[in-house]
Amino acid sequence: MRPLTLIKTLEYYDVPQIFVAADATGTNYLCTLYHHDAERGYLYLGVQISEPRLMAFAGGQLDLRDAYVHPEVENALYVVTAKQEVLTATTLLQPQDITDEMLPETGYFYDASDLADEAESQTDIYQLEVPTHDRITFSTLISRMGWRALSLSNVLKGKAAIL
Amino acid sequence: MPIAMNISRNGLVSLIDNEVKARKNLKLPMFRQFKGIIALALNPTDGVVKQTGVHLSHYTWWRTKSFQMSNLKMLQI
Repeated sequence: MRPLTLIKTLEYYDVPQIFVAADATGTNYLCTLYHHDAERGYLYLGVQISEPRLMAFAGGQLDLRDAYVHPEVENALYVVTAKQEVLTATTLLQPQDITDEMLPETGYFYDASDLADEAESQTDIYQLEVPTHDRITFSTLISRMGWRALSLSNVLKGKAAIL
Repeated sequence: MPIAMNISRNGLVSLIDNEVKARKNLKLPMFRQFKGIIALALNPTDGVVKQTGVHLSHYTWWRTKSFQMSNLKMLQI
């Protein structure tokens, strides 16, 4: 049993159909819904996936089925359950455990062309160290550029303001 | 024109306004139980529709209590 944290929902219909989650080590799991029942909740087929491969899928360059049929490493497939808002990688699956009913059909390429949060996804987030004596200047710059400061705290070892 | 793929939940219905997108979703495992997609013509008295979810093409339809499935006009199967 491995607790997971939801990173991003990629496809939603009634409930999340495809999402990315991560475990405590930061390993990403690409999860696709395949079953639901009252006792076990929502069951997803999860595959451990590297950042480049995940980006390939999100960019529409990787067939979703291939992510599961050809995982990057052995022992990468799990049953991931979602019940009462708790995500858990429960059962390690071997390739022979995967039935066709659990897999997407060939030809599902992700479409990121009409994302509702497209504007947000085009935003980069930085953490900067700014000398304390430049704090006012930097705050002015942020304001003039229309950037958004997530937090403004002061002084790291007396030398820098952290934005 | 909204395209519905599932009319099962109490009061809430997911809709997709893009036929190509709706057909592609049929490739996902949970949609295997569906025979296909239909196009619907909704009346103002049928409820409220709002864009929700990840994609701009996805909407949630909150049905009114007075909504009758028998009055639903299916434009295309």
